[in-house]
Parts: sequence; structure tokens; C-alpha cells
Amino acid sequence: MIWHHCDHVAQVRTQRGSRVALLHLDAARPVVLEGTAAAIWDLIDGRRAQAGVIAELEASFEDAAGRLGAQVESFLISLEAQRLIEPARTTN
Amino acid sequence: MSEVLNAKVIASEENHFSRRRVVKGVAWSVPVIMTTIAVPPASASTGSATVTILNPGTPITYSQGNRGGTGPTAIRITGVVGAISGSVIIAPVGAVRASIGIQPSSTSVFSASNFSGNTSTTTFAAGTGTGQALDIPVSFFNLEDTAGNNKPRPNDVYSYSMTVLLTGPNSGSVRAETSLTIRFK
Repeated sequence: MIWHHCDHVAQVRTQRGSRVALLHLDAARPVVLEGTAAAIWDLIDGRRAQAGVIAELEASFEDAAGRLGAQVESFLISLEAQRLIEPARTTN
Repeated sequence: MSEVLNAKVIASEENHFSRRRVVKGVAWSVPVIMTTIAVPPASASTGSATVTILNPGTPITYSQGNRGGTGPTAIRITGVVGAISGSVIIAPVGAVRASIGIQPSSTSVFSASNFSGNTSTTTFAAGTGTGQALDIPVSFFNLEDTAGNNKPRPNDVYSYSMTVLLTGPNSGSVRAETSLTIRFK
């Protein structure tokens, strides 16, 4: 699965990039991502597969509990539910 | 929020992950979407919506396998007049060999659960009438391999997070979270 940011999502970030505010243009209020959530957002580029996103994060963070993959998967589903990301179209 | 307001607007999709943000050795923490925002008042709303998960940790039985475990018994929605919709996401916490979905019924507001790996997403839609509390009973089923190396082992106990996302009349959203466990014989 490859994800990309939905076209109708505006984003504002801190200069350090550690905090991202997102607003779907059909929504009334923004949501905010910090830390690992913001890191995941940045990895969603319409090119990386979900497994690639997880691999990047596993290379960057210490995950002693071994829960990173499942938590990223759940988080991506949450982003999709809020119409912030959607599956990228693939051409065969 | 002033930090965000003063920040640079990024209009481009060219957001390449910056390795300067994280350094190997930084502890992983659960990613969350921060929504301290209630569904805003609207003509179809009496005010801010709330979603509450009732009776978490209650002993429950999973259908389609007759497994025992713990979980909530209902979802309570208050503060909205009009149509609402949302989704329930049940995701494993740690390694599991089974998945959990919302049990449908003839009176249920839930659609059939969709599975991606061991994570399920179940959407729901309902009306809250005059704005009084709406309690939505919830029960669960589990899916598991019954043969082969991926079959749950006796006395395995798996944990899951359950997230309820509620979208109100103006597309604002609120959420609530709890946990589920399931024990295998």
C-alpha cells in the first residue's frame, strides 16, 4: 500500500518541523501531529510503500517493545479516516 | 498554537523525510492525532459533541470462536442533533495471531468490519434525534487461523487498542480510546 497526502489538506509546520498542523478544507478545525506522528506524515510521499515507511522509522527510532509496525498501521488508518491521506493510484 | 501560526506554510507536496529530525536511539512513542477539538456548534447541533466508551474492561465473549476477554459494552454519544458517522479502529498491540471486528446485528448501526492485516475498521452511521445521549451497544467477534503455524496457542492473551472516531454535522471530529483483550483456550 502506498499513501499520499489528500489534495485538500493544508499544512502548517514549525520551522524545526517537529509539529505539523493539518486542516482538510472541508473540515472545521485542524488537527496537530507531533513527534513520531509528524515523522510518519513526512514519510508519506506517494512513492514509499507502507512497508518502506515502517522500515525508515525502524531505522530511526528504538522500538524496544516491537510495536512500531502495528502502531504505524493503526495510525495510517486513522489518518485515512480523517481524510488526511488516501491510497495512491498505481499504474500497472 | 502561536508557534504554529508563526510557522512557514508548506504548500508543496515535496516533503521529504528529514533525518535531522530523528536520530537513531530516540525512543519510539505511540503516534497520535491530537484533536482537542469538539464538534463545533451548528444548526444541526446543540453544542460540542462527546464520545465516551462505556464499561471498559468488562468480561466479554467473542462470537465466532467463543473466546473470552475484556472490553467495553457500548459507545455513548452526546451533544449532537442530526446525522453522525464515524469509525471504530481495532489494532493489535504487540504480536498477535488473530483479529477482532465489531459484531453486526439486525439492529446495529455498524457496517461490516474491514480488515487490513490484523487491524479492523468498522464504520457506523446514526442519528441522535433531540440531542440526548445515544448509547450504541457494541459486541465483538474474532478471526483466527484454525490450523497451521499461525494458529493462536493455548493460553495466548492478545491486546488491542480500540479507537472511536466520531464525525459530526460540520466535519469536526472527536475520538475516544480503550483497550481489548482476548484469551485463547
